[in-house]
Amino acid sequence: MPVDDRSPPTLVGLPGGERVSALEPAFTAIYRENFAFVWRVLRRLGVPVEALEDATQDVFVVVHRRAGAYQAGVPIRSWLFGITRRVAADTRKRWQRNTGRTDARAETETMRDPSDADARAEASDFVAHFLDGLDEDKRVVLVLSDIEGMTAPEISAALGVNINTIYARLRAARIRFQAARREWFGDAAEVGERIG
Amino acid sequence: MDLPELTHRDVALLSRFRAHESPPPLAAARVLRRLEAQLHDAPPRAPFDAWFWCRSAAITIGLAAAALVVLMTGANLVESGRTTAAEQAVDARPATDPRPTSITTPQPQPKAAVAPTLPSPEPATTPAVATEPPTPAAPRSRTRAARPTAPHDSAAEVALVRTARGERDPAARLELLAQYRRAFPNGAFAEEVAVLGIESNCALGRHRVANDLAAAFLRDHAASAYAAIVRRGCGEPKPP
Repeated sequence: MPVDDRSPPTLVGLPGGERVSALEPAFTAIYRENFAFVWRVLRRLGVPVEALEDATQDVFVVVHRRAGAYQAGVPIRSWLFGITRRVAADTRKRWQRNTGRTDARAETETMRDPSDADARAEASDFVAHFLDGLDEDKRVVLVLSDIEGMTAPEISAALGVNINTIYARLRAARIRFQAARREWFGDAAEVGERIG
Repeated sequence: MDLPELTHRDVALLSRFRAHESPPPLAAARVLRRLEAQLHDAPPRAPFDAWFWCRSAAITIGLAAAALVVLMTGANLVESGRTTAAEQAVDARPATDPRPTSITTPQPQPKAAVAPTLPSPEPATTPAVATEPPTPAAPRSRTRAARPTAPHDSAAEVALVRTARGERDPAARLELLAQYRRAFPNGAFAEEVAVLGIESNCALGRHRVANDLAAAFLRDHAASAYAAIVRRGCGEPKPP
């Protein structure tokens, strides 16, 4: 068997600098740009904190495997979201089967970093609580639009839903969000002081 | 559509939430390293080559011998006209009828070139059968060989395990192993499949899953030849 004399990979460096990626530059670029997006979406789709790294890895394995099937006209995050959603569903099922827990999100919501600043923690508590109470259709649209910054056409492509439906869901979600915020914090001025 | 605008407070809340939900700083590097291992590195060599092939060979030889016995027995029964009770019941002729019941299994044309073509007054006898190569592919025995399905299924079973072992992608290998378990829930290679599953999960960086599987394996197969291997868990990275 011939000896593999490939040179050590010298492609894209990573934060920390101690290691470079042996993967294709295009893939690594997509990975770097979208890792946090995939992570957060997985989290919002109910993947428990303990399983986030595995699930994120699974998403990018699928991305790598299906790179040839990616259509250039489709926004990359829309495509990624489709994969992420399927991986999240699989991960949740596996998690529930292995642990017997039925609500991974509720289980892990308590695992917050105690070093968080109060304002940030309270903001996170409120948004997490609100999103948990929102039905999935509206939650996904609000997360993709107002947290991840995707446009309505991108969300429409990601979900395969008519764009007018996207707007309708976003409208309903925002109205409920603002109502919940007023109720949670009481006085809007107080909120401004807290998060200012 | 009048979409409510987010106030700056709303935006601030969502932005803080986004930061709170973002991955820790080193997570991206960790996952990328695991991806590299999964997508690029050579798959870990199974550490039980010799044992696996010994078992495979033993099982294959045993099954082949069993198939040979079944084929020869079946052929003898056919040639002697004493097949099954059902066939005897259907056959209204006396048992002494010299017409060979092997007429129900038509002689294949290609075989005529090999087998003696002289008309025989007697039914085909055991020696005639014995001169045929006792392989499942022998046309004459095909109809009878189809009855005992175990050899055929076992060949597929061995082939599936071999395919899984040769699969370089651990995720794809896990799919093949799941396929094996579905097809052969009581398969002869359950232990090998379990060990391959543990290794595949290790290769994917799923050490927790691998450890759980290893614990279950050691509980169920404490005396297995693979126990020592499994006990090592994911272990240290293999030398290049």
